[in-house]
Amino acid sequence: MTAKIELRGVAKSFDVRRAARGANPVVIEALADINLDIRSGEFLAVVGPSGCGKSTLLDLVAGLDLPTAGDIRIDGDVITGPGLDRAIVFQQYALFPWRTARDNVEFGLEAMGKARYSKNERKERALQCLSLVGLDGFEDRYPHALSGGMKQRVAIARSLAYEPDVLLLDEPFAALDAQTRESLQDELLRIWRHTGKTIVFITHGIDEAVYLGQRVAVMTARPGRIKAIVDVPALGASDEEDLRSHPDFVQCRHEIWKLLRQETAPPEPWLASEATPASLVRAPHERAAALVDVSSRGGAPW
Amino acid sequence: MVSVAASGSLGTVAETRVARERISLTSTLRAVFRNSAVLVVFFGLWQVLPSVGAVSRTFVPPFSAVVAAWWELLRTGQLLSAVAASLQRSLTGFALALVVFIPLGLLIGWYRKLGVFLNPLVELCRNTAALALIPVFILTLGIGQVSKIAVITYACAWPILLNTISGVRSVDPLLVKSARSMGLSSLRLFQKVFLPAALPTIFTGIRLAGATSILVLLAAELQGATNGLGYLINVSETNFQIPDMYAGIITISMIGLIFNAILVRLERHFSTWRSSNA
Repeated sequence: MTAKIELRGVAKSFDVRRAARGANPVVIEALADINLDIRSGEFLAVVGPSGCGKSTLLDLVAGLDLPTAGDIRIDGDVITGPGLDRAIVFQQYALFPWRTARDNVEFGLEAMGKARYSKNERKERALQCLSLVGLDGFEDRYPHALSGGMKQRVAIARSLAYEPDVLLLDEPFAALDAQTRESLQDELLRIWRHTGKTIVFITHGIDEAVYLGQRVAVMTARPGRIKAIVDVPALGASDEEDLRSHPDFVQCRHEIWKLLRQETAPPEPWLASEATPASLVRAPHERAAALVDVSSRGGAPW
Repeated sequence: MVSVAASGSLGTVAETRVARERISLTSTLRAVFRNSAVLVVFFGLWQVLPSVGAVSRTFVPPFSAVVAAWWELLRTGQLLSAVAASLQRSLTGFALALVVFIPLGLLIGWYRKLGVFLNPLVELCRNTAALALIPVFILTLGIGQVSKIAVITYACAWPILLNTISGVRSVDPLLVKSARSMGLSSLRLFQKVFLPAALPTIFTGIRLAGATSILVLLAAELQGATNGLGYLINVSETNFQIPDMYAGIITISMIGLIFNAILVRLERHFSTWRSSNA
């Protein structure tokens, strides 16, 4: 298999301003010397301890942020920004609340411009994608009228709609209850087999990683490095069997668990939650676009 | 057997429908009563207290006298011309504020540096009462129509401006990130994410400004006006036509209520996607 995405010596560091005034900015090394080949059409799961920079890694591949060192190539071309060849699915769905399920799915198609899809083609494509994730009949619902699992289905449909080669999923099922999560995991596997996309799946759940991935990349604590890549044994297509209790599954799970246990959580309190670095530190160009200054929230009324 | 069961169930359906309609009618009446009971009491007291001499009839004529005066003003056409003159001022001032300050708010929200630069001036201005500036507007813009409209525009500006800015600034960064991952340019990002996300907040500002435009109107019309409701109220007071004065006051209250109701309806229409309104 050929490499779809290559990461060579990728590093990323952020300047974090401490809460205390006047303190010098602290440079936080989020990722260091990441070397990774993601094969075309493979399902790669990435696990790592909290705050190890898993999400940062995904942002880099998505082109939402640029690495401080090294380069990331897709099909041999260096990634310099976001593109419709890669789609990202977030844990918090990120659906546009003023758009119905169908209009949300059409969003990426609209971004492609009218030349690619006419209005009718967009609608048809959106309904097709909603059907693929099992949401027939829900196309006119607004996100607030959908359950968490359904919202994530819409988000997956939206990312599939513009036919990216690569799906990047950032802990997509972490906010869902156990049953919904399991059914969505199976749906995702079905979609993957059906469409042959390359999937990079970030998770903190070892079970989830082993269940979904063909390979599992295990990351070290901050600064995140690729510690090991574990091949998940093919457990056959016997769907009826409870794969999670299969001896090979248990063995593989235990191997990753041992690898992760050697990594201890970082002691700094502001890195205790792995959501912190991403929300605290935004790249300057993204900050300009987002125009939301975290420090001014709750201060002046505007 | 089957048909009997079917007709039986049909009968029940029809009966429940009739019952449901009856319930909804009585509940509507009850709701109307609940919502207006306090007004009935208020106008009742207004009628009774002056009639029995508890308050001076000269200064507070009974409500029926005010209604009679209102009807007379309506019949002679005085009321309509006053309303037309006032509405023209209010709506012009309001519309001007919309046209100028929504785009300005979008710019300030979008370009953070512009916001930082303008912030002190905005804070100074919005804490300066529009009424305090009436003499300034009259001195600089004359005593005619322009200064009155300027006062209304000024008063309407702040709720619109501040809400527009905060609407643009409080867009969920995750939505921005999600849209950016689909390769949207800055302009498209603004059009497809920032604008729709900010719309409900902007509309709150518009609704507040609508109320303001009516509230400030009277003060603007008290000096140097030759028509309008403020003029009507002022002149009635000086000529001691007290029922006419109250008729004018009631009219302006009604206009304020109607204008606000329209804007609330519009606001709801543009923010149906907010779960709280659904």
